[in-house]
Amino acid sequence: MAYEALHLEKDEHVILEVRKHWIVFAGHAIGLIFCAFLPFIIFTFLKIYAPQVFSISLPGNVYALGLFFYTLWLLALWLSFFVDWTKYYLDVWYVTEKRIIIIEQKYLFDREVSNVRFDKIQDVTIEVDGFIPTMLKFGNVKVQTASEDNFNFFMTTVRYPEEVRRVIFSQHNEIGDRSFPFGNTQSS
Amino acid sequence: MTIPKLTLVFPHLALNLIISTPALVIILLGFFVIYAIFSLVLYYHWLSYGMGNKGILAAEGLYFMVSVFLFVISALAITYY
Repeated sequence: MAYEALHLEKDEHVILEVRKHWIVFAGHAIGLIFCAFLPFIIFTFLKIYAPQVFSISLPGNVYALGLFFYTLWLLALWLSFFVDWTKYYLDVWYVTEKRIIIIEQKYLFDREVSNVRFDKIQDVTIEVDGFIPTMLKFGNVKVQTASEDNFNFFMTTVRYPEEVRRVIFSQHNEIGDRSFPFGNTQSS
Repeated sequence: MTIPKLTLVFPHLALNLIISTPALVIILLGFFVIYAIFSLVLYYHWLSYGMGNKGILAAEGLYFMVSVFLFVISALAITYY
């Protein structure tokens, strides 16, 4: 995989990609599926409550005309789905050996990128609340930093949050061991 | 004393709407232009920020295949109108 856009250092590699669970846009997807069936619902409604609408005479093939507009409707829904999916998929944390690169795709052409070095991380908290999150293994992940303003990074509905915490902690400990190979002792 | 019945009468619609094939072609072309602009925007994001990810590649393939299929269907619908 090519990670040029991340501008990684020479000896730096992505070891984990953290993304949200697919359930975050399941609601939108279900809404779009409903919208795909909406023309048929409206047609049935008109047939029952306003049948005189169908006395409008059209010169050509009515079914072909209906199919034409229906395919345009489906194309609009398809586009909407992928705009939402792009926002979901480009919301990602890249965990490397040295830092976490936090990317938040707020909307198209609206992107926020932050970096957190492991030596600045104070704590990683995960929250898995509820039956469905427990069964589907997703939850919230919060990374507390040791910056002046105590800035925290937060991602909701993360896939496999336990694995995320394990990787971040193991990298954090490795960085700590490298900084203080004989332990953090002070001579008196 | 009898209560008067309220009946709703809708106007009878018997209009001859003229929707011609050239009009449908213009609608399709206009829609295609808008769709192409949004597709380019999506493709730019996938290319710039997708990192060559398998999910992005699969999404690209699926998106364009279904889009082409639906545009072909709509073009065929015009020919059968």
